[in-house]
Amino acid sequence: MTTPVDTPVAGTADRIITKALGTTAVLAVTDPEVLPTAGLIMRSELAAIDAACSRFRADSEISRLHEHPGVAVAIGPLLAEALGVALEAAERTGGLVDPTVGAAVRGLGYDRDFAELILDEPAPPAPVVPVPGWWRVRLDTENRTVVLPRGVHLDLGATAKALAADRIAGSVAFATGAGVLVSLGGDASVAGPAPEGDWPIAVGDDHERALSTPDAVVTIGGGGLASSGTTRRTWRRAGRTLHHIVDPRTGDAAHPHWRTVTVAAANCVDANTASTAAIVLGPDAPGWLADRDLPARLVAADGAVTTVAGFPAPTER
Amino acid sequence: MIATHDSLCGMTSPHNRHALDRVGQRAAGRRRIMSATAMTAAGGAALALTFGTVFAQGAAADTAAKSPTPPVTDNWVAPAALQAPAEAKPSTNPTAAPKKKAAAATPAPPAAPPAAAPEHSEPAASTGGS
Repeated sequence: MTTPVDTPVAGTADRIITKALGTTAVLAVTDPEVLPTAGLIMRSELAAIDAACSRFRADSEISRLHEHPGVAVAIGPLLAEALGVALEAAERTGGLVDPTVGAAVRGLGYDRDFAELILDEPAPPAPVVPVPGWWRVRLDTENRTVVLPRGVHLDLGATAKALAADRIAGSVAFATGAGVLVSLGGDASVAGPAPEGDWPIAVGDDHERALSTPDAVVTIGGGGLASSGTTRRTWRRAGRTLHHIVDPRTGDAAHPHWRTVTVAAANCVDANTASTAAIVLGPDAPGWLADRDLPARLVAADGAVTTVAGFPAPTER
Repeated sequence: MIATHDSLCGMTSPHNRHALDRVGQRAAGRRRIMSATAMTAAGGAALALTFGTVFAQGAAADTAAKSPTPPVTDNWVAPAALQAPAEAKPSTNPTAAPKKKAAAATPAPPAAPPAAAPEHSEPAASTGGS
């Protein structure tokens, strides 16, 4: 995550579309009058989450944490919350979504802001090993300190963006009383009173293309809707195509059984946690999601679509 | 050289007084060394006894403060801090339904599943790979 908020690239009276956290941010409200206030809240939250959690910024809190392994380091409230959310996601998925994948992701070649990455290199990635494991991170939420064992590097990418979406939606709804939809790179969160007919959200392999040419459009009145995919944010090393979702059990990029998985949940963090876990699980994902009543749409590598737990089937639109 | 009666008797003569003094001085020196050695030995023993007692008392106090050593059993497992919690290990059967205790510790489903949007509805936002 870098470049917290750029200038708006598009928008309407009730919507702001901007570049943030290396992706696209969309903010929509039910009352156009509150849009300026909502925009300020979004910019403030995005700047704060970037300063706390970006592993690509040398001056971020998480980068400073990595410089002091093995000792208790005092951290700010936002990083404490983001790390707590990441560790909880790991616990809730049995370690399928693990924040200690930082070194593995870097070893695969994703070691800088994606815009600066050399997309095709002949050198192979570093040898893969299972990640250290989330339970090695000692977070003291009362005293707000964390002990990061030597060699453990964090990557909060699976949950921090979703957390930001939840925080922005909640803050805007609380501050303005309006209904709000926030989407950060395809991680969508809604709060407050929904518009008539709920919020329509386009679904696709690429969240930017989906806005103009969606594969499906669904509506949600609350909670979160998030997607994880293996076809965007890819690069090549020694002729092999790699992506940013690491299987913690191997330390390698998860097998691309699914192209895209979209999940609806009680909030955006839970939706993104589940969609990331589904990519890691591969063919076992539909059963895992169905057992947890998580509506989901899974697109296989060959384009075949599977829906579970009440997610609208492809023919329903 | 073999000492003769004459030569021994000659030692007592004033002529040999200096030799006798030297013998006496050596003997006295030996006695002082032996005395000092004996005192050092006695002092060392006393110190050893004193410190030995102190250390023994300390060790006894430490032992008393510790919880009793658990009996060796065949099903001993490492303390929790040394191993991954059971729920942290990626499940070998990930499709199994979550247990009742774990039901809350799983991503929470939405209040209602998404619905299909009406035809030609304009999406307010999008989701997908990023």
